Amino acid sequence: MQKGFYIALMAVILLTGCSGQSNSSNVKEESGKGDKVIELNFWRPQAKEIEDDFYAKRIEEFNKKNEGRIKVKMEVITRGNSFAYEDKINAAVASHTLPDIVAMDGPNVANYASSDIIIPLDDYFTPEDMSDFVPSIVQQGTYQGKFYAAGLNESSVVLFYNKKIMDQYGITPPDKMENAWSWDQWYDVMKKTSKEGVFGTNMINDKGEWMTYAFEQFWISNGTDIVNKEGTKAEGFVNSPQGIEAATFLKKLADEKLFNIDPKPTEFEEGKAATKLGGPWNIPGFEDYPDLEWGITYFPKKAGGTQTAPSGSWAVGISADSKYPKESAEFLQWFTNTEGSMGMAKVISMPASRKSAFEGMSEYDNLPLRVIKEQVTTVSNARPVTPAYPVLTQKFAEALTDIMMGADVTKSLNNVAKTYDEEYERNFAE
Amino acid sequence: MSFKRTNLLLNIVNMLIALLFITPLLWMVVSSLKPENQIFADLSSIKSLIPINLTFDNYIDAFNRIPMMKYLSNSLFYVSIISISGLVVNSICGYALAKLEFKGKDVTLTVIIALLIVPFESILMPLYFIVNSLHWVDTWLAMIVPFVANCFSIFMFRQFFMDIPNEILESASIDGSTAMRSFASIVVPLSGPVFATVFILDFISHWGDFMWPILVTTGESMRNVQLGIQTFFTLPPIYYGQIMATLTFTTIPIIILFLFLQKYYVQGITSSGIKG
Amino acid sequence: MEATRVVQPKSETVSLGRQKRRERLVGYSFITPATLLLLLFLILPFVLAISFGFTKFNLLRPDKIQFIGLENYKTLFQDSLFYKSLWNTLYFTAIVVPVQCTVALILALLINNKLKLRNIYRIAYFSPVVTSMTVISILWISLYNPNEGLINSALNFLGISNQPFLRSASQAMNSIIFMSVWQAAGYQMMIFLAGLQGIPKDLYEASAIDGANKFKQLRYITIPSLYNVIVFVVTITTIQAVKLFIQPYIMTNGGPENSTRTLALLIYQQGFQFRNAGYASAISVVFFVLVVLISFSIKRFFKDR
Repeated sequence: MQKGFYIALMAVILLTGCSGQSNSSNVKEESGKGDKVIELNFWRPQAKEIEDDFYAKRIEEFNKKNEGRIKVKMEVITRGNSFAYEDKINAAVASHTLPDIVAMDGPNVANYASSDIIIPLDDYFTPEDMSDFVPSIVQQGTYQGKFYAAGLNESSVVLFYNKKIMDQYGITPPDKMENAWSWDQWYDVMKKTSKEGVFGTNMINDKGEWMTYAFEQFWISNGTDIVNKEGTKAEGFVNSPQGIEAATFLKKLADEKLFNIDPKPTEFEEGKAATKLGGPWNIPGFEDYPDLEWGITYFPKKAGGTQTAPSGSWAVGISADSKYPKESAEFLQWFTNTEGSMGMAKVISMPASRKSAFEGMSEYDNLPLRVIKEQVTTVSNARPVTPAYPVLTQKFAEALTDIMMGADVTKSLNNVAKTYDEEYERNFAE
Repeated sequence: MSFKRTNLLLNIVNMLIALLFITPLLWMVVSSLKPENQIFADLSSIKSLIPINLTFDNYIDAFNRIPMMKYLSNSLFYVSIISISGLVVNSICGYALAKLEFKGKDVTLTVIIALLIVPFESILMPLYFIVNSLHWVDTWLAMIVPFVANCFSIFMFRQFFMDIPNEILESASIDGSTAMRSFASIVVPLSGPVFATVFILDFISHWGDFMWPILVTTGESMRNVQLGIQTFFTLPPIYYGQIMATLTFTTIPIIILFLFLQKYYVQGITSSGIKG
Repeated sequence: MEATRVVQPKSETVSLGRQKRRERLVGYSFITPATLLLLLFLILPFVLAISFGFTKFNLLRPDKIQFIGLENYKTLFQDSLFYKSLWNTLYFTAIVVPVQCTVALILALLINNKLKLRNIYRIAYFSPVVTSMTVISILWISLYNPNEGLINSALNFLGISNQPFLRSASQAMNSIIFMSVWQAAGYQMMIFLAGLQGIPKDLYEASAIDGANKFKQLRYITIPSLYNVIVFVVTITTIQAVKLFIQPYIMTNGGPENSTRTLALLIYQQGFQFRNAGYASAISVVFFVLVVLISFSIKRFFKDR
């Protein structure tokens, strides 16, 4: 009975799954010539036009260089403010219609690698490549010792400040990393500046992935993390005494109303917040506010703890379904080279993923961008590399949001640990 | 008499409630005409509903970013086909379930009501497998065919057809007209408001399609308005002015459709005399 | 003459039988297109989904699908989050259905008349239904803002201190209920309106002559005449209410402290975000059974009247 059911189910899935048209590589006979052109498909989520255009231009360049041999075809998938792109990948995996080359958000690398959806790239990237990538890119792309996905750019979170407000209270924010504000110093600044419709800080971008991306660093700075290094266990990490201390600090800021839990996206720009945890992506928007005089300083750290900063980016990998992994890797390696990384960094004003790329961009040698370069090349940490990341980030973000709204710290964090460990045990334990 | 006073009272009550209901629509339209910085600066005050510093920049910028007309015509095309063919398929089914006698009728009705309950999220993946095995991915068939038959519409037609007096239908069958013709010539003219309501509700629900089109289409040629709107949510800085402009623009067809269908409601009133 | 009179009833039964057979045939041919489509695109996928409920099925590992019997259901019935979501769903439904249906009926009655501006009112009441949920939620999140929202300003004016609304476990669900009723009442109003158009006017005219007032007309003419429509609206509203997803998804993501986590949200989170398609299917099945039970009790409720 059970067996019969199982066979029937498998039959239906195989039938529906395998009979669809494949999106991955196909070989086209070039008319006239006998040569075969390998056509590679590449999916990535839609971004800003300048970024999309940059991708298109680079691909065109590659296709021209490899004319008659390889042709890369890019499909830009709508992403919006939801997980639609990931859902499309799920559907494509289940029906074996994944393209050859696929872009993924950094924390998904481990998830896809552990499910054998993408293949290791160690044979295709040289040791020079690997040491040229900033450490967080290697960290985010590596699962169980193998490198699976490379990014063109990095990201970082810094503390922006409103110069006028700082001057008003005689505060001078640090411009050297060794003097970076500690949590307590930052707290004092917020305490001083938070009055008359102005909040001490603005630090809620959204209540989803942002929460993990930005605030996991508080755990790291305090000498712990939200899971262990291997990514197998959250108990004793997310809810360790240091973790509870980090969460309690964030709760204190919320309790004393030093930040707005539902801020307008333009709160800082309008001068209604003295500081802001944000990233390079905010800078173009600042220019629309001529009254705003802003400065930049380092991500706050625990006094006596580790200096750290968030990082992470979209990365590109190669699907296990691809018939042409070698050609796909050739493309990927060329695509993420210094020139690509630098070009991308310039176009979208995000930090580059390669150290060599920074050398060609003098704007990163001075303030304000120097702060970003220093963080990216020296102290940044990637988010946890674990196949159960979707559960971890959801539960952690929920718990942290709850804590900021008044929930019990220990209870909330214990719940994250319990849920994560159960999920890992059930679905990923060997 | 007090007739005038009742009318005045009714008008006042209606106006107050109407104001309460129309605020978000108003806010959307007004914001779409404001410079970006103004929208959030005004947000938590009454100023957010007052059109000051009017500009069409948001519309111009938004239309420069994406081929909105193309997306609009895509949406109009496939949503109209779903809704119109849905009217035919679902109304005859609802009619059979309301007025005709045949074996298995009750079971069919029960199953249809039960199917209303199935959350779309839970069949999304299996449905994708089926459509994929039919080789419909990246074709209009995938966007249209699975959604023509609609349990909600069938159930609604059935409930309304129940109220049509049997004598009217019997007189038709004595005349010897065929079932289809008597349905078209007697039932349909009596049911203007129902057809109008089903049409607009079906239309609205598919106008909002987002998840399914992402799964079954990859290229740009079949993008609909919702996918267009989502473009404006990609990566900060997000320009809310442009979002409001696209949203306003994509709400206009619905409002026009609604205004157009109003006349069927009036018709309902004048023709109701026949029913008694 | 005599003979024909004897024959007549016989031929009538014959033609009645033929009539019946024809009617049956017509009936089948009328339901065939819809049934075939539903079979392929709704029933088949749902049966597949049900069968996933007995498997361990990670969306990213379709080749490793594994039959595990009732394991998912065992986990489910020990999952405290499931019970919490179930309770939230039922609570939302129990309040929203009666309130929203009543509001919708009142709105429909308010504009089912000859007021010159009725088209304007109609479109106003219906406008939250056609306005994008994104717009509505941005607006309501700011209205509900615990620090500087418009609603709190109004409360302060009345001497009441700031309320946290969406950002408190005890107020979040009620805040969503209030907004939902406001947002969706126009939808049911349209259906009621279509029903009101079908009530013969002479019924009212006759009762007016008998001296019945407006309230009596409502009680003895309008409501009874709308019987089938009310059954429909209540059933539909219930089904939409138990499927509550989009408002908490956008406004609270199920929080704070899971106070707005609904079953539909749980299914989405498990099935898509966590990729546990098997477990999510098991929740769907329980959800389905539950709603079928509710729908039948609604049917029963109306039959008893």
